Amino acid sequence: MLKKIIPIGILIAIIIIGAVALFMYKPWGGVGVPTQPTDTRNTAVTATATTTTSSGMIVLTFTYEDLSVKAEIPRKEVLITGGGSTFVNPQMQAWAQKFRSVSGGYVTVNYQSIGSGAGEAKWFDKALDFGASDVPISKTTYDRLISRKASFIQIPLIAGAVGIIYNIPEWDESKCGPLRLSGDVIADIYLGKILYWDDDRIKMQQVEECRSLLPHEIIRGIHRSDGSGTTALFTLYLSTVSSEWKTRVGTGYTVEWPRDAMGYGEGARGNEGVSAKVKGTKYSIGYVEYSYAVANKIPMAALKNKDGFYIVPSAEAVMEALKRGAKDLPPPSSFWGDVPATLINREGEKTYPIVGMVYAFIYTDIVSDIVSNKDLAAALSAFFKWVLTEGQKPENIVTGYVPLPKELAAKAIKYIEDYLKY
Amino acid sequence: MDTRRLRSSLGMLVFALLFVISIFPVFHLIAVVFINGSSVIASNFPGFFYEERPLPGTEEVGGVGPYILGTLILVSLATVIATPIAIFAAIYATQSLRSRLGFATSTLTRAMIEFPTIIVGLSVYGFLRILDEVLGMIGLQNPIPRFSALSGAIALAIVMIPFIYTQIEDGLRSVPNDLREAIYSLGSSRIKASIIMMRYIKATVITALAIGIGKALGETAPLFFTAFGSDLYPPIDAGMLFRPIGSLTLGIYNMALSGYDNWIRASWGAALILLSISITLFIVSRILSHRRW
Repeated sequence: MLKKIIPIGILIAIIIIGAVALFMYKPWGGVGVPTQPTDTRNTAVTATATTTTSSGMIVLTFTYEDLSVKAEIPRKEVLITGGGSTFVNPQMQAWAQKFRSVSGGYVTVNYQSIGSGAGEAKWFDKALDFGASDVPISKTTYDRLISRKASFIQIPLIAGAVGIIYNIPEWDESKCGPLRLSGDVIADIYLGKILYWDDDRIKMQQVEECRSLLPHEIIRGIHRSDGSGTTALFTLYLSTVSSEWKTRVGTGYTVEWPRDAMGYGEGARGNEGVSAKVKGTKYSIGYVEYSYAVANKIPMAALKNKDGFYIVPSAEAVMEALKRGAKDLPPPSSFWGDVPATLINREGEKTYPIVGMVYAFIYTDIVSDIVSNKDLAAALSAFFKWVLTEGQKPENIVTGYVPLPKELAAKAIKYIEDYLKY
Repeated sequence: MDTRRLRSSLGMLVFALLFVISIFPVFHLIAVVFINGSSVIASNFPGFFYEERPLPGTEEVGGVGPYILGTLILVSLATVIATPIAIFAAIYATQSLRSRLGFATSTLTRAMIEFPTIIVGLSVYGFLRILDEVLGMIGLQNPIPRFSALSGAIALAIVMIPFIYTQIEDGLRSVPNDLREAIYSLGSSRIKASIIMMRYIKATVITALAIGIGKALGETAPLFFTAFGSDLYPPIDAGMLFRPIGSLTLGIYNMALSGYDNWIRASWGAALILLSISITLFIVSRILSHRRW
């Protein structure tokens, strides 16, 4: 037995050693600098106008529509550590990789998806250079920041939406289009007041010839079991459209689901868990991040918006809500708790009702901190300026994310310029 | 046929069946990881071993270079920290078992095996946070940042220590009393005696190290709030140990849970690399500990 194992073991060992050798062979000299330094530096030049100031910073100009912003990048390798929202992770990784080449390999952004709540807490602890969350700074953290006299800003980075997914085998998408639902009906489904798919209130929303397709089957309500910004956004929507939901359940990263108590609902972990469970459970309904549904080509329901139009989530439909919603951001260091609600259930012919943004938190007194770090502050400022301009262009957006309208980006950039001094 | 023989063969059948059922998951796991992982590694060979993770939602598989680098650094650092502590603790506990402190060392270290590893990560984070505050009060800076390779290695070392410790302690206990008496009767000091006994249980020490390293290789939870993770190569210089670092397990965790096909595929490749390292370690340690010295 052992004699047979040994050769296999040696073979595996050789493979591993070979791999490690190859890996070590890679010239480490400038790894912080990307794999092809010359190439990327050239891209940086073509993408933006580059000049060098006497202070040794590289000055770049970033544009977004008619916005044009100047940013300075230190001529030194700088590492920015950020963490938080899982939702923004794929997009943030794309930004980080692209920005490293834009900065000529000098600025590396390390973002880890530790969850919105942890992102806020670890940023507050100053273990992170910036935190990212699906909701603005919470009331408790905000009060602690104020009592500590901390100076900080919060800015929006990108937008997204929550899509409703469902599994009704009888439903013929090609003939009837996506299932149509309204907010109060979804609320009543999760409250347990609507039990069957052929309930009149669901039926009457569908096109006439498809109403009979809805079966007399109990609806299985699937939801996230882990704390998540998606749940926060979804329950915020339900609280907006249903007063009963607001008083009985409320809003949060996790809530008590009335339908679970009746035995017709279940939790699942993460977007992948919810979508897998909906896929595997006949006659179920669930909610996932729009970007997740798009990446995995899962069909989503059309939701009735404030003006009575049925809208399927799309970049344009989310953009409509952004244009109407966060027109005026509050001052960056005030309490932003009311901002998310301004994007929910907006009016308009093409507006999707469940829309949210990702927010980044940055301390603005980095320079005066125990370790004064001018380079870090400059790099942070340049990175977020890039994110809010070039980062919002289609070529830098990952499928399923929705760029901020120009006005909103301009406002956020102004906050960075005014407060993040170095 | 008599009932006895029938009963016996029936019993054998049941045992054979149970045996197959119990080992099936192991082979299934290895097979699934090898089948899924090898095609991924082959599709970008040898770049998969040193490139960085690709952009989400593209067709590329990219590579897991930063994770491999991170795992190697973290595990070797953790081993360097954990091994001497575990060995000295084991020697202490076996040589002074009568004393209460020796007994406490043995019991408490064994109890540490049961610690949920996420708690280890959190407590290292919390400890470094307090260190930050205390040193900050007297105007000093904490030398170990909370999110850094060093703090990750400390957390991993804490996870490893009880595993190495129990093996070595059991090994030392198995040293025949005759040998022990012989060593002391020659007038050896305790240190000298310990060295001789360690030489006597060499094979156990190797097994202990392999178990400890194997444990550290597969850990994700203690790294969340310590090593933090890094998907890109951090600037590689002297300050590297003071910056966040990635690991294969964190990479697999993040990519496998994402919605992007190319990330999920990359995580299969990473899983294969991790599994190969563990299996190699296991086999090598088996060979070494069976060899006559």
